[in-house]
Amino acid sequence: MDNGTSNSASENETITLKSCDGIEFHIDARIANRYTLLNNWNGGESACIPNVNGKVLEKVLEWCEHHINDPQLNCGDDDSRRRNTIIEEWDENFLSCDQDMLFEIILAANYLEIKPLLDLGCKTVANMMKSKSPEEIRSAFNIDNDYTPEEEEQFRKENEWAEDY
Amino acid sequence: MISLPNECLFEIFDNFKHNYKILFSCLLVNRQWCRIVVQILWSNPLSHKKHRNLIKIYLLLLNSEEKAPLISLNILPQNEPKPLFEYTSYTTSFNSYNLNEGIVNWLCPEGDEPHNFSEYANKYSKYKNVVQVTKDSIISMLLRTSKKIKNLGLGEINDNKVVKILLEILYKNSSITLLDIYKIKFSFEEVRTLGDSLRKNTCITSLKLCECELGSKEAKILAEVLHENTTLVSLNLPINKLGGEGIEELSEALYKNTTLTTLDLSFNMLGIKDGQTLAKVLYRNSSLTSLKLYSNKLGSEGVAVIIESLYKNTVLTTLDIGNNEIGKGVKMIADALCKNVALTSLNLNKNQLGICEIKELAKALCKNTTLTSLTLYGNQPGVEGEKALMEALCKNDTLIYLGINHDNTITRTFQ
Repeated sequence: MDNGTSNSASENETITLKSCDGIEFHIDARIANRYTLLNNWNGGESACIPNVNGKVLEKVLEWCEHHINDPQLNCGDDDSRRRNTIIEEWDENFLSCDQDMLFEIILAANYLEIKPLLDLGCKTVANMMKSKSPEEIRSAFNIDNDYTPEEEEQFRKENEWAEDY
Repeated sequence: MISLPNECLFEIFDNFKHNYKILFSCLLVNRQWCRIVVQILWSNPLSHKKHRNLIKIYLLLLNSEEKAPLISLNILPQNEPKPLFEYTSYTTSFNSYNLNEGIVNWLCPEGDEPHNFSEYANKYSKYKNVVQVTKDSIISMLLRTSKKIKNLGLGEINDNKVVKILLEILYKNSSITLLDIYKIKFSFEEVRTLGDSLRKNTCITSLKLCECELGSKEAKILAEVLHENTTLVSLNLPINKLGGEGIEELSEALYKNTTLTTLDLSFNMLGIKDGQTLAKVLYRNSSLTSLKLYSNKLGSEGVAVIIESLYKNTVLTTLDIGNNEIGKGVKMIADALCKNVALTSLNLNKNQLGICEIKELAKALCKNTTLTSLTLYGNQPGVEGEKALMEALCKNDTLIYLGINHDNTITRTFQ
């Protein structure tokens, strides 16, 4: 069965990735082969990843390494991808970092098109919003309220049908 | 906090697709979140909620023309500001069937909304005419404002202006991929306009025209559509009058069409001759995989010719010939099953099959290795027939689903 690892990379082959702040990582070439964008950069033996710093890239690569033998997901099947709301224990521990790092991971996963990690990050953030009021969400994520009071009140009225269960 | 781009926020909120309470909280966080949340919250609200205030927003989004028929009824919300978004522009899925209940809730004084079905039925019959006019206006508004709609179900529309708007939208080849129309009496002119749109349309993959009084003239237009259109894969025309000339018209087009995979002609008064016409189609067509002919009058002769064509046709896998007065004609079907025609799913419900007929089928099941689903509801297998079927199952390891009667349905799983 195809477990997603490419035939073109053997187990011992490594490539070098460089973060935007110049830190080098030697990774299993199979990781790069799994994700299109990482793959696009490793035309040579080393590649530079702009926009992602060493600290974040380290975390992202740690996740990729742990999941190297996961079956490849069918990209077209958005719903089956999301329906699975259970987060595995390893992933949960992996993402129980501080909030800035969590958001950095989401940004990097989005930028590097690592869909399963992006989903996982988004699901984790979503779980942090559950059963919170708007005010509680604002303080949990340190967000400013830029509504005028009138505007907020009107939005509340126009959408209150959704609140009522 | 580090700000996430909108696409990431969308991914986050999309986890709450069916949890409106959380979406509501997220919407009130700030303006950026609101702009993203409304897209999810308003994509298909009516299928989850029939709240009076949802209808209120719909009414507030009507333009003056759409409002006009409602003014004298005194049901429009008073002294309310214009909504901050044109919320219906985010609709992706809409079925007018879901509107009635919401409108009844809106028409009832607040706090006096119906709590159960019988209360609702009472209120509905009281407000029936007002509900109809309101519904027509809201649908007009929805068709005017929704730009992303993919799944559209429309039925029981009284106002031909609404039909006109629908036809105009279809002509512009909008975003609709699934169109489900029921109980609309189109004029012939309207069917012709619909046909003109569908011939060129490259979005709609599934079309249903249920109970629309379609006859041979309309079938001719649909045949022209099938000649040109190469997008449509599913055509469902249940409860019409397509028997006789209608089927003749369609069959010509079906010889050549290579995109359609599903055809539903249930409840169309099809007789023996129509069975022959459809058999001719099955001899030549090589794309149809599913044919539904439930509740017609094919009789054993009509079914026999269809079954015979399956010796040649290797594509059709699903056949529904329930309620077709097959009776003793089941012998032909049993023979075909013995020879393993391509069928994987067969519906023979309500076909006056007695002990002898069921035994014939049971014998065939011992030899058949293709069928995975067989339903026989509404027949008279008797104890003996049931026993024969159970014994056949011991020798058959392809059949997964066998519906004998409502007390005896077998679903098997194989490793």
